[in-house]
Amino acid sequence: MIKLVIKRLLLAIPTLFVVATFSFGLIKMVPGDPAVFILGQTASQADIDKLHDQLGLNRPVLEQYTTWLTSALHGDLGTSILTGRPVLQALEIALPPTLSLALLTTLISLILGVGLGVFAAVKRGVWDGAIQGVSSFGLAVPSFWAAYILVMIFALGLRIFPATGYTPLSQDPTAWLIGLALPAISIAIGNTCQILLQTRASVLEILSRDFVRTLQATGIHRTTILAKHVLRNAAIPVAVVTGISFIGVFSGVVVIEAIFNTPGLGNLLLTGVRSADFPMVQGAILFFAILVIVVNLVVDLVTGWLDPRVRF
Amino acid sequence: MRFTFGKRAAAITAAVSAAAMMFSACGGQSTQGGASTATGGTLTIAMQGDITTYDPWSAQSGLNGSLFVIGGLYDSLLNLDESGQPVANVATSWESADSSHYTLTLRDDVKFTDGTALNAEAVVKNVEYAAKVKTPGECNSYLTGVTATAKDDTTVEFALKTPSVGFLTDLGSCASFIVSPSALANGEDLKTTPAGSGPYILDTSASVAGQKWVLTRNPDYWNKGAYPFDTLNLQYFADATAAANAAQAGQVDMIQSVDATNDTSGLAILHTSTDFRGLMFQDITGKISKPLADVRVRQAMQYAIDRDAIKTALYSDSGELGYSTPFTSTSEGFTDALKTTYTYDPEKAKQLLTEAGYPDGFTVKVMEVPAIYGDAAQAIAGQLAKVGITLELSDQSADFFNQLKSGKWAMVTFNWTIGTNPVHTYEGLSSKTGFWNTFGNTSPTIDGLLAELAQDKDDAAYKATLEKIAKAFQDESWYLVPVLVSGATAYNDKKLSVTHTQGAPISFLYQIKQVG
Repeated sequence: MIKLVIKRLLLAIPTLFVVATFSFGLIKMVPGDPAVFILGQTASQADIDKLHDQLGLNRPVLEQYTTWLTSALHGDLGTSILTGRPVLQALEIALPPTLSLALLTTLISLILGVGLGVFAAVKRGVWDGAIQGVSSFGLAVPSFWAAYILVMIFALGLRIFPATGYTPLSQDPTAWLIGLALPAISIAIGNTCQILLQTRASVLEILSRDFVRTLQATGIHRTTILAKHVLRNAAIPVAVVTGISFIGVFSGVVVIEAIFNTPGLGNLLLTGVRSADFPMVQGAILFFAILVIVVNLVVDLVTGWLDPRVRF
Repeated sequence: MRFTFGKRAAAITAAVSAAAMMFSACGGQSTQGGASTATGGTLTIAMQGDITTYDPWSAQSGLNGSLFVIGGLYDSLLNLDESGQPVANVATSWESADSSHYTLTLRDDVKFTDGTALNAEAVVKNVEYAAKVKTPGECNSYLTGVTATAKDDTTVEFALKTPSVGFLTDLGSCASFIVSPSALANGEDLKTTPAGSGPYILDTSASVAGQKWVLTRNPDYWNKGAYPFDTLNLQYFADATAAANAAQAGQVDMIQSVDATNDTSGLAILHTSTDFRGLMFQDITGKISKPLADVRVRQAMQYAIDRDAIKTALYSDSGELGYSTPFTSTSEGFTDALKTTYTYDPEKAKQLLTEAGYPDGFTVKVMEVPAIYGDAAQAIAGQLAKVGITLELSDQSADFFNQLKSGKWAMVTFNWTIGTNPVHTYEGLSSKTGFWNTFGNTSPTIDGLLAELAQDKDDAAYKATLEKIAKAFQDESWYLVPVLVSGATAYNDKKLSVTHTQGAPISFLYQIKQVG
């Protein structure tokens, strides 16, 4: 297991390098001038040239990249072109809302997905058909559309949840939960259906195995078989899908955080892209990459724990 | 409607301002135009810009939003009334010998939060700092060539290298937020730590950089009555729909900037800025499109567009008819004659084209940025096609600035916000180094009139010169602008009463009152 962790961490280095290099190249290819964004309509060409000089934007692209990379290797992700604030500081502020959203979404998806998946597999019949039907619909629902519908009903109509905003967990746990409820549910709809269908299929597959029939023949209670034997065996693909869903949350947060004005990494990335603030975009992408690598590692560890056959 | 020279007029203006200020400071329950002097509570504003610095001399294009924060943390020497006239604030009276020399008398009881006195010497230090700050703000240029001298603790004299009739308006708009001189020594700290004497102080524990800024009352402020709210909660919204949803859910009282046609927030709409927006003839010397060098061709294009139809179809109440000159119908210098210079007359357009040698029209490449003027550009293109002129619209949003500078586009879609001081508006448009004027076009007529305007000493002469400028912009036909588009602020009119200064991008904090 330790070997696996070390191997993954070593692999993370070239992965992050490739991500950083590609994202830098992509950002530089995207047209847009942060100096114009900052200075606005009253700026003269001389003002814009001066700001280019101050920001180092008139230096060769390769030089800009190596400067950034050298600093990044020393733990300095630079300063935002737009705000002048350290990128790392901005990312640290934005990380908790995004992580909160991702964890809450995954928790909701896991509980509902596994619960309903097992229920559908065990019950079969009408319940199974209904759950499968709803799941197919849920999978097709884009999270941003669900977000707007939820806002209309629960924030603007019933006024149960706030339409926007975020309260840190440390400040007020209840407000934290209430504030994240709608964004988390918006993303969780699709993720729940994904986990649900995977759970259902896995449980059905395990239920059809010979050893289950043998266990049943020995007179062990059905619930015990399900809890102790079927679920553990069915959990491996579910863990993988959960990990993928968790990673998928990070791609969804850019839109969802904008809709709910959640001050997370997605919003930071969106603002950075709009204003061609490449240090900020670069930093946010790097953070997302690190999160994905860490989640993948956790999924591998969980899979190994669940199934000794895949341990290294 | 402008500042009139002479000590008597200045004294009257100051006296009226002071009386109004005292009235507002008295408190009680009196009502002024729907607003009352009720105090307390929180004002929550959704802003579309991040506050990147607390240094008013470095505040960049986010000034639209940062004006709320800067106006809360710092005192301005002067405020402005709705028509843009200076109103007393820290400066209680003012006088001027001519448009190059101004003397302001300051209050003697204003202190910065660090205990330093806001006196004439502090003003001098600010003017000096504004000229040398590393990243100059949007309003610093108003002080270019301005020298300030402290005559005594409460008297400061301004000497202007270039005469400016609108200097006091500039001071009231954004060029006199005074920073504590002790903080100016290390200006970099101002980015994160304000040092003002304004009605509010920053609550650093409740504020989060890039997200929200919480301001609480400055307990020592000298004019608390002018600011009714105990707390200001300013929140950054990257997405306009999110801000509208928050307003509908009752989470915000005001949205800094909204599309004037969009009432989805359920809030009242207050028209604020006016944008001179449309198509600009970049190539008026015919470098790449020979026909445009002939003023008759450019004028023909003015006759060929149906301004009414475009306004009705696309802008409704969020705009007013534009006559290809950067003057609104309420601008000083606007005359009804401007309305009839270019009436919709396709036949006249064809006649002018024929006279210019283009009876069959011509084709011209237009750099379009749909976000700026997309729909209207299409409409104009459709109308010009009827007289044989083909606009080849090309969306260059993705590479906007490089394309604008490239010199490849004979015409571009453009936008210019008409500000509080008309001189800056017209200078910015016609200046050789102006943002949009990338072909470096010059107009000796307009430049001459602007120089004349700066010297005009009485209202009649000033107005007459403005009228000539308005007509010159039309006659020279640099722009094709059928509609002037309004910017807007949205606010909860059940809670707030909001006024606005003509030309200001947003309302000033002192213009936001409580209802009831």
